[in-house]
Amino acid sequence: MHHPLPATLDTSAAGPLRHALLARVERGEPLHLDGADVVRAGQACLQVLASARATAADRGLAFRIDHPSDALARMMTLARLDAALDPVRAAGA
Amino acid sequence: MNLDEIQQIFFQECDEGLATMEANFASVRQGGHDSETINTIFRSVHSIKGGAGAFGHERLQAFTHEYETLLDLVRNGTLTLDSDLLGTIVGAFDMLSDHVAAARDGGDAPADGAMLARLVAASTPSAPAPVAAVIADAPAAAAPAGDGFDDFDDLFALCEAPAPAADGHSGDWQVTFVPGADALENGGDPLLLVRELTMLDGEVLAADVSRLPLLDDLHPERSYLGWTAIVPGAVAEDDIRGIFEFMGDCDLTIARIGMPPVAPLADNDDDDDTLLVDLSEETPPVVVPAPVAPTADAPAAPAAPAAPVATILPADPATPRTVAPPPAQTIRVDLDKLDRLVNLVGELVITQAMLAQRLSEHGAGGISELTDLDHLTRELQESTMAIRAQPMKTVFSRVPRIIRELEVETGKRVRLDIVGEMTEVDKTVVERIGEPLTHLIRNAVDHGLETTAERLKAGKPEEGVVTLSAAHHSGRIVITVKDDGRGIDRKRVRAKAVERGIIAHDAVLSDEEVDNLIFAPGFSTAATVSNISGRGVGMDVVRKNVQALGGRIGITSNFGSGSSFALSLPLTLAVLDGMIVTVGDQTFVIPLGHIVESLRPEEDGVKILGPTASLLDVRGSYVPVHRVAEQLGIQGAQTDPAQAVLIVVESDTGQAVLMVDSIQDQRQVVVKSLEANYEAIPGLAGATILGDGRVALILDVDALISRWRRDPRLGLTPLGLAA
Repeated sequence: MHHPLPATLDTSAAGPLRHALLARVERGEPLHLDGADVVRAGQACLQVLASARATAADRGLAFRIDHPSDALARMMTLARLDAALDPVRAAGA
Repeated sequence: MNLDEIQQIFFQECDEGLATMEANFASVRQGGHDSETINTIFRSVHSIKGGAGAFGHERLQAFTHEYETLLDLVRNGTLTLDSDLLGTIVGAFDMLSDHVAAARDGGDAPADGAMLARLVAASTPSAPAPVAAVIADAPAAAAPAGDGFDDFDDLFALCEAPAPAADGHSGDWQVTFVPGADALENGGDPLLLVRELTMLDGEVLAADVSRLPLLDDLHPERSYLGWTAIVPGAVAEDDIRGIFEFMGDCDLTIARIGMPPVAPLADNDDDDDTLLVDLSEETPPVVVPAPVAPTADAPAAPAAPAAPVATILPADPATPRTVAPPPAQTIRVDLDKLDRLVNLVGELVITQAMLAQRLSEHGAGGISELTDLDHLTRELQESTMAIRAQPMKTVFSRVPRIIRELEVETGKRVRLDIVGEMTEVDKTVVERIGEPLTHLIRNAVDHGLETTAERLKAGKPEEGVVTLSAAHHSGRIVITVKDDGRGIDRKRVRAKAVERGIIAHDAVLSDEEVDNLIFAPGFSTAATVSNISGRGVGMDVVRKNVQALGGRIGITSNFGSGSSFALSLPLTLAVLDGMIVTVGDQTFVIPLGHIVESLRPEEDGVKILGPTASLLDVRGSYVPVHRVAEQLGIQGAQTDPAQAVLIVVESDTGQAVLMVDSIQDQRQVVVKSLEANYEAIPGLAGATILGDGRVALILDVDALISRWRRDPRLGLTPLGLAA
């Protein structure tokens, strides 16, 4: 099941985003995120996403961001976090 | 240091940047500019833009972006700086000042649409585009708040720029930075720094995610990332550092890539303390500055200016490479701390005086240690006060804009000449002189200078000249506002004063007294109250403000050729050199700056003209003697001038003599404000605490003499003298 990312990924959105992603990880669910609606993103949320990817990899869960909007893609590029947000396959997949 | 404090520094630096720009515009106007002049202006705008971005002042940032773009085209020679372009640039400067003020005061940003359009149009002279389209296309053009503008859009646009080569070249800067953990607080976002680096044509090579914890341990509003970027070597290091200036806690390293080896300063193989430093990748030393001094064994070769000299500490592979920043030339100190230091030094001076008095009572007043302590205390006090000293430039730099506005409002052409802007005076004086000075400038242009037609008719150049000068004179600062206008029309002034009931129609007044009528409350000679100087704030308020600073104001005017207003102010309001005198059972301080000489008169040196009026013969000139005891109502004082001590003083209205009983001492005293501790008393400038702990009042010589001259019962008026 896709988890849609909110349109605004500013600093105030980082706490709720972390909470939601951590809940999925703790339930053992893969992190299939949908970035189509994102219109703005700041460092706080980008680092939550990068941390979520590392956490997913650590737990053997899949991670990927589908349909990243131009805005999200460009911010990831600017912050040079492209690689830190690359898809992760689930362990054994 | 919290974000607000850092932001205050940003605004201080904005003010400094604006002052620097204004000074450089003056050079441009006078034709004395070079490429560095334009570069300096550009850097000031760039620095303001960087801070504006860091603190989220979007309108300011957007405006500076367009302004900077235009300036960049001028500095790289794409555009030629003609008078039209200079007009646009100076106009944008005024608007930039308004933007800074709005950002600082939390007010509405100025309506800058038209100016932005001018900037954009000036930046693209060969292909003028419709204004609206140009603004819409400009990546950081100011759009109204909530109209789609946001920092992230700006960031996105920058992401689309073609990336420079992935690897830095020799001589490029390698910038590594790790914002502090609290960098995301208060709305901060270090990605703005990344954006700023890209605007310097920098490329971010990699993000450092090594500190990023897993989600369980991640604090969502704490910064964990760091970046490494390459910035072209042509960019000044200061410009790179400027980006991080307001970042607060940030681990920043800036180093040249592949810096060639430095020539040795001394050809001495045994000298292990000064070695060549190679900042290339292969040798990552920790570098700290080391003083370089030639020795007898190793005469110094000419220093290589571009290369840092360093001492190499044992290299630790785990230690990141750090280039030592240049030695700091200035530091910022909280003013409260400085004021506390000044107060403490003041108390020290008082205590030192008390100690001297006590030792004197025990016959030990002449010991050399006391003299040393006296010297040291004075030196400490002077050094402390020097810390508070600021150049008048900070005030004078606002004047060109006032003149420009007045030119527009009055239609007059005005040239401003500034002299002595680096003259230093205490910060308090600098802060409080702005308003009276502004009024005098407005007065000079509005009332002083003639219209262009009138000037041409009078055979004068079309352009009026206002000269603003500052200079130290006899321990005071004298600020003069001079114009080459019409001068004071004394007939008109007198008629107006009679009409307003300020003087009787048959009053006999000297030219000086007529001139001084313009300081009378309620006086205005403007035929119509203009919105320039006739703002309900009369020259009387100007004089009152100047007097409140312990200053005085004098006028020199020649009808037809101009007027000059001279403000004489103390260099500091905290201490003064004074003569300690007694009158009856009271002790007073007379400021030394007023004293010409003191004497006990010869038997026939004083001419008695009446019960309270007498004259002292000062080498052939008769000077009125004023009895301090009578003026201040002190009983038991000496009444016979021949038995008293007479002190010749210089006042605003000429020489006079103060009659006191005796002189006790001459020393520096710490001024305590009467207004702050009690209430203002006419004739007294303040109080001080003497060595024996008693309070002594400081005489306001000008005010006392002025009162005497207005009250013939207490002395001789100039008219009385003439009679």
